[in-house]
Amino acid sequence: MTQPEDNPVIQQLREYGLATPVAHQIAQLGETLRARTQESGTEFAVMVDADSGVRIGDILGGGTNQIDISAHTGAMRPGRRYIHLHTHPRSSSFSDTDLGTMVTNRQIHTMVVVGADSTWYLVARTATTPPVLPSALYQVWQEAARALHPQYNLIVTRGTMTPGAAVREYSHVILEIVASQFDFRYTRVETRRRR
Amino acid sequence: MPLKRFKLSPEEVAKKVEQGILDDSNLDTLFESLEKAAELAKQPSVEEEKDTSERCKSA
Repeated sequence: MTQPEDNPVIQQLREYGLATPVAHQIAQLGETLRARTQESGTEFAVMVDADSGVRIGDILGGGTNQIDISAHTGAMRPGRRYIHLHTHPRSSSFSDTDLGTMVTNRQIHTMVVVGADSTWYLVARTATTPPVLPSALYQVWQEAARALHPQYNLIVTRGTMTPGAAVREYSHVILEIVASQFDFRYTRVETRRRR
Repeated sequence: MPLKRFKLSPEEVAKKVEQGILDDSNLDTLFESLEKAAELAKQPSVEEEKDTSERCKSA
Protein backbone atom coordinates (compact mmCIF):
# COMPACT_ATOMS: atom_id res chain seq x y z
CA MET A 1 0.00 0.00 0.00
CA THR A 2 1.26 3.50 -0.81
CA GLN A 3 2.17 5.45 2.31
CA PRO A 4 1.27 9.17 2.32
CA GLU A 5 5.00 9.94 2.37
CA ASP A 6 5.31 8.10 -0.95
CA ASN A 7 2.52 10.13 -2.53
CA PRO A 8 4.27 12.29 -5.17
CA VAL A 9 1.56 14.97 -4.94
CA ILE A 10 2.11 15.39 -1.20
CA GLN A 11 5.86 15.42 -1.74
CA GLN A 12 5.55 18.19 -4.33
CA LEU A 13 3.13 20.24 -2.23
CA ARG A 14 5.64 20.07 0.62
CA GLU A 15 8.37 21.23 -1.74
CA TYR A 16 6.15 24.18 -2.61
CA GLY A 17 6.41 25.19 1.06
CA LEU A 18 3.25 23.67 2.52
CA ALA A 19 3.17 21.99 5.90
CA THR A 20 2.51 18.24 5.78
CA PRO A 21 -1.07 18.40 7.17
CA VAL A 22 -1.97 21.09 4.61
CA ALA A 23 -0.40 19.05 1.81
CA HIS A 24 -2.49 16.04 2.89
CA GLN A 25 -5.63 18.19 2.98
CA ILE A 26 -4.99 19.49 -0.56
CA ALA A 27 -4.22 16.00 -1.87
CA GLN A 28 -7.49 14.67 -0.43
CA LEU A 29 -9.58 17.57 -1.70
CA GLY A 30 -7.96 17.29 -5.13
CA GLU A 31 -8.78 13.61 -5.39
CA THR A 32 -12.39 14.22 -4.27
CA LEU A 33 -12.91 16.95 -6.86
CA ARG A 34 -11.11 14.94 -9.55
CA ALA A 35 -13.58 12.09 -9.04
CA ARG A 36 -16.49 14.52 -9.31
CA THR A 37 -15.04 15.94 -12.52
CA GLN A 38 -14.52 12.51 -13.99
CA GLU A 39 -18.16 11.69 -13.28
CA SER A 40 -19.72 14.98 -14.42
CA GLY A 41 -17.26 16.25 -17.04
CA THR A 42 -17.32 19.68 -15.38
CA GLU A 43 -14.89 21.78 -13.33
CA PHE A 44 -14.81 22.14 -9.54
CA ALA A 45 -12.76 24.52 -7.40
CA VAL A 46 -11.73 24.87 -3.77
CA MET A 47 -9.57 27.31 -1.83
CA VAL A 48 -7.58 26.55 1.29
CA ASP A 49 -5.60 28.78 3.67
CA ALA A 50 -1.99 27.80 2.94
CA ASP A 51 -0.91 28.03 6.58
CA SER A 52 -3.87 26.73 8.56
CA GLY A 53 -5.26 24.30 5.99
CA VAL A 54 -8.75 25.69 6.64
CA ARG A 55 -11.04 25.59 3.64
CA ILE A 56 -12.25 29.06 2.66
CA GLY A 57 -15.76 29.26 1.24
CA ASP A 58 -17.61 26.52 -0.57
CA ILE A 59 -16.53 23.99 -3.13
CA LEU A 60 -17.61 25.64 -6.37
CA GLY A 61 -18.93 23.91 -9.47
CA GLY A 62 -18.61 25.19 -13.02
CA GLY A 63 -19.08 24.13 -16.60
CA THR A 64 -17.07 21.99 -18.99
CA ASN A 65 -14.52 24.70 -19.69
CA GLN A 66 -14.98 27.45 -17.14
CA ILE A 67 -15.67 28.18 -13.51
CA ASP A 68 -16.55 31.35 -11.63
CA ILE A 69 -14.27 31.60 -8.59
CA SER A 70 -15.15 35.18 -7.62
CA ALA A 71 -16.59 33.84 -4.33
CA HIS A 72 -13.09 32.57 -3.51
CA THR A 73 -11.10 35.61 -4.59
CA GLY A 74 -13.61 37.84 -2.77
CA ALA A 75 -13.08 35.88 0.45
CA MET A 76 -9.30 36.41 0.54
CA ARG A 77 -8.06 38.35 3.55
CA PRO A 78 -5.01 40.62 3.66
CA GLY A 79 -1.97 39.01 5.21
CA ARG A 80 -3.10 35.45 4.43
CA ARG A 81 -1.86 33.19 1.64
CA TYR A 82 -3.98 30.64 -0.16
CA ILE A 83 -3.85 27.51 -2.27
CA HIS A 84 -6.34 27.58 -5.09
CA LEU A 85 -7.21 24.25 -6.73
CA HIS A 86 -9.52 23.49 -9.62
CA THR A 87 -10.08 20.60 -11.99
CA HIS A 88 -9.77 20.23 -15.76
CA PRO A 89 -12.01 17.65 -17.47
CA ARG A 90 -9.57 17.38 -20.39
CA SER A 91 -6.58 17.04 -18.04
CA SER A 92 -4.65 19.86 -19.68
CA SER A 93 -2.34 22.25 -17.86
CA PHE A 94 -3.11 25.85 -16.85
CA SER A 95 -4.97 28.19 -19.19
CA ASP A 96 -4.02 31.83 -19.66
CA THR A 97 -6.88 32.90 -17.35
CA ASP A 98 -5.65 30.46 -14.66
CA LEU A 99 -2.21 32.08 -14.68
CA GLY A 100 -3.69 35.56 -14.88
CA THR A 101 -5.75 34.84 -11.78
CA MET A 102 -2.63 33.83 -9.89
CA VAL A 103 -0.63 36.90 -10.83
CA THR A 104 -3.45 39.37 -10.18
CA ASN A 105 -4.29 37.86 -6.79
CA ARG A 106 -1.00 38.14 -4.91
CA GLN A 107 -2.39 36.13 -1.99
CA ILE A 108 -2.59 33.00 -4.11
CA HIS A 109 0.55 31.23 -3.00
CA THR A 110 0.15 28.19 -5.25
CA MET A 111 -2.33 27.40 -7.97
CA VAL A 112 -3.18 23.75 -8.59
CA VAL A 113 -4.97 22.05 -11.45
CA VAL A 114 -6.03 18.42 -11.16
CA GLY A 115 -6.84 16.63 -14.40
CA ALA A 116 -9.62 14.08 -14.63
CA ASP A 117 -6.89 11.57 -15.55
CA SER A 118 -5.10 12.20 -12.18
CA THR A 119 -2.38 14.44 -13.58
CA TRP A 120 -1.60 17.27 -11.18
CA TYR A 121 -0.12 20.63 -12.19
CA LEU A 122 1.29 23.15 -9.71
CA VAL A 123 2.45 26.69 -10.32
CA ALA A 124 3.69 29.39 -7.94
CA ARG A 125 5.71 32.55 -7.85
CA THR A 126 9.18 32.18 -6.36
CA ALA A 127 11.22 34.56 -4.21
CA THR A 128 12.92 35.77 -7.39
CA THR A 129 9.80 36.16 -9.55
CA PRO A 130 9.64 39.80 -10.65
CA PRO A 131 6.28 41.63 -10.77
CA VAL A 132 4.38 40.25 -13.75
CA LEU A 133 2.31 42.36 -16.07
CA PRO A 134 -0.77 40.20 -16.82
CA SER A 135 -0.99 41.44 -20.43
CA ALA A 136 2.61 40.29 -21.03
CA LEU A 137 1.73 36.91 -19.58
CA TYR A 138 -1.26 36.44 -21.92
CA GLN A 139 0.87 37.48 -24.85
CA VAL A 140 3.61 34.96 -24.03
CA TRP A 141 1.08 32.14 -23.46
CA GLN A 142 -0.51 32.78 -26.87
CA GLU A 143 2.83 33.23 -28.66
CA ALA A 144 4.12 29.94 -27.20
CA ALA A 145 0.90 28.21 -28.31
CA ARG A 146 1.30 29.56 -31.86
CA ALA A 147 4.98 28.61 -32.04
CA LEU A 148 4.34 25.03 -30.90
CA HIS A 149 1.23 24.48 -33.02
CA PRO A 150 2.92 23.10 -36.19
CA GLN A 151 4.73 20.48 -34.09
CA TYR A 152 1.53 19.20 -32.42
CA ASN A 153 -0.42 19.49 -35.64
CA LEU A 154 2.09 17.10 -37.23
CA ILE A 155 1.90 14.73 -34.25
CA VAL A 156 -1.87 14.31 -34.59
CA THR A 157 -1.77 14.25 -38.39
CA ARG A 158 0.68 11.34 -38.25
CA GLY A 159 -1.49 9.63 -35.66
CA THR A 160 1.31 9.57 -33.08
CA MET A 161 -1.07 10.99 -30.46
CA THR A 162 -4.80 11.56 -30.22
CA PRO A 163 -5.86 15.25 -30.14
CA GLY A 164 -6.67 14.83 -26.43
CA ALA A 165 -3.27 13.41 -25.54
CA ALA A 166 -1.52 15.97 -27.73
CA VAL A 167 -3.26 18.93 -26.13
CA ARG A 168 -2.29 17.70 -22.65
CA GLU A 169 1.36 17.63 -23.68
CA TYR A 170 1.04 20.84 -25.72
CA SER A 171 -0.44 22.80 -22.79
CA HIS A 172 2.29 21.45 -20.49
CA VAL A 173 5.06 22.62 -22.83
CA ILE A 174 3.39 26.06 -23.12
CA LEU A 175 3.53 26.26 -19.32
CA GLU A 176 7.19 25.27 -19.25
CA ILE A 177 7.93 28.17 -21.62
CA VAL A 178 5.79 30.67 -19.68
CA ALA A 179 7.20 29.54 -16.31
CA SER A 180 10.74 29.85 -17.59
CA GLN A 181 10.11 33.32 -18.97
CA PHE A 182 8.45 34.71 -15.82
CA ASP A 183 10.47 32.71 -13.28
CA PHE A 184 7.52 30.74 -11.91
CA ARG A 185 7.94 27.40 -10.27
CA TYR A 186 5.98 24.85 -12.30
CA THR A 187 5.56 21.11 -11.89
CA ARG A 188 3.55 18.34 -13.49
CA VAL A 189 2.90 15.24 -11.39
CA GLU A 190 1.57 12.17 -13.16
CA THR A 191 0.11 9.90 -10.54
CA ARG A 192 -1.34 7.29 -12.85
CA ARG A 193 0.32 5.50 -15.73
CA ARG A 194 -1.25 6.57 -19.02
CA ARG A 195 -2.87 3.92 -21.16
CA MET B 1 -2.90 24.13 -40.76
CA PRO B 2 -1.91 27.30 -38.88
CA LEU B 3 -3.53 28.36 -35.63
CA LYS B 4 -5.65 31.26 -36.86
CA ARG B 5 -7.07 32.95 -33.79
CA PHE B 6 -7.81 32.25 -30.17
CA LYS B 7 -11.34 32.30 -28.82
CA LEU B 8 -10.26 34.91 -26.28
CA SER B 9 -7.98 37.84 -27.14
CA PRO B 10 -5.52 39.01 -24.45
CA GLU B 11 -8.04 41.80 -23.63
CA GLU B 12 -10.87 39.29 -23.21
CA VAL B 13 -8.63 37.10 -21.05
CA ALA B 14 -7.96 40.13 -18.82
CA LYS B 15 -11.71 40.76 -18.54
CA LYS B 16 -12.42 37.15 -17.51
CA VAL B 17 -9.70 37.36 -14.86
CA GLU B 18 -11.17 40.61 -13.56
CA GLN B 19 -14.59 38.91 -13.31
CA GLY B 20 -13.09 35.99 -11.36
CA ILE B 21 -13.72 33.47 -14.12
CA LEU B 22 -11.25 30.73 -14.95
CA ASP B 23 -12.00 30.24 -18.63
CA ASP B 24 -10.33 27.52 -20.67
CA SER B 25 -11.61 28.71 -24.05
CA ASN B 26 -8.08 29.19 -25.37
CA LEU B 27 -7.20 25.62 -24.41
CA ASP B 28 -10.32 24.62 -26.35
CA THR B 29 -8.93 26.51 -29.35
CA LEU B 30 -5.86 24.25 -29.26
CA PHE B 31 -7.92 21.08 -28.84
CA GLU B 32 -10.40 21.92 -31.60
CA SER B 33 -7.60 22.82 -33.99
CA LEU B 34 -5.81 19.50 -33.39
CA GLU B 35 -9.07 17.59 -33.61
CA LYS B 36 -9.76 19.16 -37.00
CA ALA B 37 -6.24 18.36 -38.21
CA ALA B 38 -6.69 14.72 -37.16
CA GLU B 39 -10.04 14.51 -38.99
CA LEU B 40 -8.57 16.00 -42.16
CA ALA B 41 -5.66 13.57 -42.01
CA LYS B 42 -8.13 10.65 -41.97
CA GLN B 43 -9.93 11.85 -45.10
CA PRO B 44 -8.56 10.45 -48.39
CA SER B 45 -6.69 13.01 -50.45
CA VAL B 46 -7.99 14.09 -53.91
CA GLU B 47 -5.26 11.96 -55.54
CA GLU B 48 -6.27 8.91 -53.52
CA GLU B 49 -9.94 9.44 -54.38
CA LYS B 50 -9.09 9.77 -58.09
CA ASP B 51 -6.96 6.66 -57.94
CA THR B 52 -9.74 4.66 -56.24
CA SER B 53 -12.31 5.93 -58.72
CA GLU B 54 -10.12 4.94 -61.70
CA ARG B 55 -9.53 1.49 -60.24
CA CYS B 56 -13.28 1.06 -59.80
CA LYS B 57 -13.87 2.04 -63.44
CA SER B 58 -11.29 -0.40 -64.74
CA ALA B 59 -12.74 -3.17 -62.58
